[in-house]
Amino acid sequence: MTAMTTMTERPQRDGSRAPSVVLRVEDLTVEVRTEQGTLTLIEGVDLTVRSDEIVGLVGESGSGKTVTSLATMGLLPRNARVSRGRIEVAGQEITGLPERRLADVRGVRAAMIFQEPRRCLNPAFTVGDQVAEAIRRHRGWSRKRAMAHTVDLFGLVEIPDPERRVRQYPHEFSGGMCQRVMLAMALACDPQLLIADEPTTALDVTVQRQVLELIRRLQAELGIGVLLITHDLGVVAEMCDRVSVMYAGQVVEEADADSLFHSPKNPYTSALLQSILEPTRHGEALTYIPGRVPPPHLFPATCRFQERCGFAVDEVCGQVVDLQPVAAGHSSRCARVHDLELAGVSE
Amino acid sequence: MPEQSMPEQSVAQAKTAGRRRSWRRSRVMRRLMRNPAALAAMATLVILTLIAIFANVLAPHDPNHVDLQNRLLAPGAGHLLGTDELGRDVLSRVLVATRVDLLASLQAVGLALVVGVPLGLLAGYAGGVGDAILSRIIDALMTLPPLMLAVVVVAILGPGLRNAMIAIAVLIVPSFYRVARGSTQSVAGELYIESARASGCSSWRILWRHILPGIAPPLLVQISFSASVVIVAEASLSFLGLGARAPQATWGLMLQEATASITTSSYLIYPPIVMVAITILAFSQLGDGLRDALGRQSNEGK
Amino acid sequence: MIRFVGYRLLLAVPTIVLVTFLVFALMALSPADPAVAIAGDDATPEQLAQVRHDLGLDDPFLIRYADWGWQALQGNLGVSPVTHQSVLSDLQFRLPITLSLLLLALVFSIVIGVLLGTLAALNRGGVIDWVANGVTNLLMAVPPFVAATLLVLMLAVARPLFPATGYATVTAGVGPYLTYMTLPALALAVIPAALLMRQVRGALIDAMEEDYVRTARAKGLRTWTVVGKHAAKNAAIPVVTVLGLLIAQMLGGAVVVEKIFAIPGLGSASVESVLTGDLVTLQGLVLVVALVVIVVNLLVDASYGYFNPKLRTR
Repeated sequence: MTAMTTMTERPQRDGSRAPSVVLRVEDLTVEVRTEQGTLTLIEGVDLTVRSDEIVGLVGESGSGKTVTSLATMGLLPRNARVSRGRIEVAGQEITGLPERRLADVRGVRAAMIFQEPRRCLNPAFTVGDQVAEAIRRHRGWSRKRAMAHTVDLFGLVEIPDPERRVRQYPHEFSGGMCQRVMLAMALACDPQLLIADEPTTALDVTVQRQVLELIRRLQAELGIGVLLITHDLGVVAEMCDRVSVMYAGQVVEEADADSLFHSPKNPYTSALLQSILEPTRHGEALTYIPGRVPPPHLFPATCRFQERCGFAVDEVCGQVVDLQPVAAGHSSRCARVHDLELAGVSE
Repeated sequence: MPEQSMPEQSVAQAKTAGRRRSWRRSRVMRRLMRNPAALAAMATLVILTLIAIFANVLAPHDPNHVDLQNRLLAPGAGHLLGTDELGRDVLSRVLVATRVDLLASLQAVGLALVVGVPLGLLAGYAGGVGDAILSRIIDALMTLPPLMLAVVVVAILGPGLRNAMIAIAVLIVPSFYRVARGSTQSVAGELYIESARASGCSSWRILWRHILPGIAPPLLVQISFSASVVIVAEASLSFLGLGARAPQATWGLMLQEATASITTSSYLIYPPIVMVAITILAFSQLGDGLRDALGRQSNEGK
Repeated sequence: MIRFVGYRLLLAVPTIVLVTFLVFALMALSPADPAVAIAGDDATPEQLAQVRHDLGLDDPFLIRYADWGWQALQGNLGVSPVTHQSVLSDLQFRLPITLSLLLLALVFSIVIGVLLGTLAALNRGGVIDWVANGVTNLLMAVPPFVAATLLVLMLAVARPLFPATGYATVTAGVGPYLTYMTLPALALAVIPAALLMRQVRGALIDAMEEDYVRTARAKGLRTWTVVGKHAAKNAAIPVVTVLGLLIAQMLGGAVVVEKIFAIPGLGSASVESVLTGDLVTLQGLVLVVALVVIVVNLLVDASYGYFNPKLRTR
């Protein structure tokens, strides 16, 4: 394990530093009430994140990955609710917790950063105040002490000139710097789990790389589990130890990153991989997958990818499919999983 | 793009614009019909209009007939809403007052439209120095609180219902001017206007055929809201003795007269209050309904 | 900040000149003859001419306005032809009374509007929201003269909790101030409170949907910190803007309310000067009211810098 060079003053969470499970999601099902009735947004999602890994959650927009992450933080919109399953964050069961108790968990056991960091910071307060506020809330420190710690955190996330920067407002920061501030805020109370929802999607390519490297370094140094939500398989390849692929509200494949990229066991994953190999040949990102993710009220009861799948055979695929193990630590949701030879990324 | 193709294209665009508008309008009606508050408001306004038209027929007594023997009668048979200080029948007076108030409001709104809209159209369409000067004057007028402005105008013209109506028209001219100017500016920037201009339509024709229909929706909303402002202002001025004069019956005047005997005959204050409140409520609910039904486009003028 | 205020004051000068000029011009067109008001109805034409000459009424219009403006700059707003008193000292007596009334009305409308608006926003679509909306719609239909009449009937006549007439300024002490000013201030506050409630509700709902509110929740802040700090400061700008307009509107409402409660403020002065044909006082009044409105707008603009730091750095 990497030495905690920059963080000697931080209290160690557990002396042994043996990897522990920081997020366990089992059979998570989320429903939303709409004018058309109750819709199931995600169904039966299982996820595990340990403190020594970055787990990727991949899918097109509409696949339910953001709903999964919001549910994990207890941040679902008011008309949505967890209807089945459980979520355990760093040993704490959070499903069914009242808002007050949830607020105690957020920022302490699990923290989250989002897409479009500039919009995620409040324009009316200094960035330092917004970070220090989390510390004061959860640790009850004085304003001065919290601000001093904020300066340290700014150093940790590599914001230059932290003493001056903490007193500035978000509009004085670039997008990449805003995401660093968000990271500092997320790390303020030593969470065990960091959820990063498309953290670099809105950023320039070079800045994107810097932020990703920062997240990877922080993960290793601080020993926090990271759930990285992205639609970008390039980012996944670079960052993740394990990957879950979501489609239309379900996990369709789960494996360690190497296996997933080299020998995918689900036609959807395979198609995604092919589409990034030659992303712009026909001017579209997903040339290998015609159509789009169906909206929740049109989720079929059978295989949800069938309509867009190049390998679909009506007799086999027209049934309910479960996520089933295909190898050690590798599962796939496909009725034809055993008779398909799917293309991955070659070495 | 070759120059020659412009006229045909503009005609086609103008046609689609026209189609788009009529389609939009039917959708607006449907949305309005689905809004219960707006429906109730429209029904109320229809009833009020009918009362105004048939006030003389509906009134059970002569509204100005003084009967000192029967002063301050409580509501009951014979006089459903009682009688006032001079023994006049309150129901008859409130019905006739509806006519006076609605007619006066109609005049004020009409006058303000006739003055405010053309000025706004021209300012918005022509721009330049004239626009700058006009807009400064309008801004300056709006610096004064509404009722204060009306009082100043009455001071100049002298009290009386007709002068109060002119004062109130002055009061709401700025809002019509602003709506007309704002939406003209935004409509004038649209493609179909530009191409109409390019194809040689005269300015008057463009204003009349293309821009006026475009600003109608926000103007309609503003008229509805202004109508409730007018009702309040008229009643306030009459209440202060700066508007209608006795023995005329208006809601404001009736309320003012009723306050004189508020300790003994408090029932007198309710008829004018209820009428004023219902009318304001109807106009503002209709305005809300129209604005919601028309959607984003009606906000352009604000 | 000082530069900002100075700049804004400079911008206000043409507005003040324009307002007073417009009113001056309109009054010059008025059929009412101030000379008649002074010399009396039975004055001879020679006497009238003398009075006109003394008042400078036979000078060209622009000269008269320039003269008035120059005098006004030096603090001389003329002498009322009706009361023969200095207009300035009359207005100096009335201004604090009206401001006291506006202050209390403002407090009432802010307390009611912000409270109801926040409750409605947090219970969006719920029972409280529905009730608050209904009440607001009803209150919007109660103009100040109606509200005043009803309040007098309910709280002064039927149940004599408050005096029906009279006044006290803030400086008179809290007791008398609240005793005399509560009813008129409430009457003035009804519509502003309703409008403010709508505005607060809308602004807060918009702010609550912003990403930074999600961030604030994600870091575990308590609900009231999220609403009262993060959403509120951003929702404040549209609310303060409306507040500025409402204060001007209340000044207009004061015309009626002061008359009903026999409060000798600026509002009653305007009605009295109309009824007596005292155009000199009215002209001074317009100047003072325009100044008050401009100062309020200035304060509103200055507050934007506090609520939105982005505007501060410019």
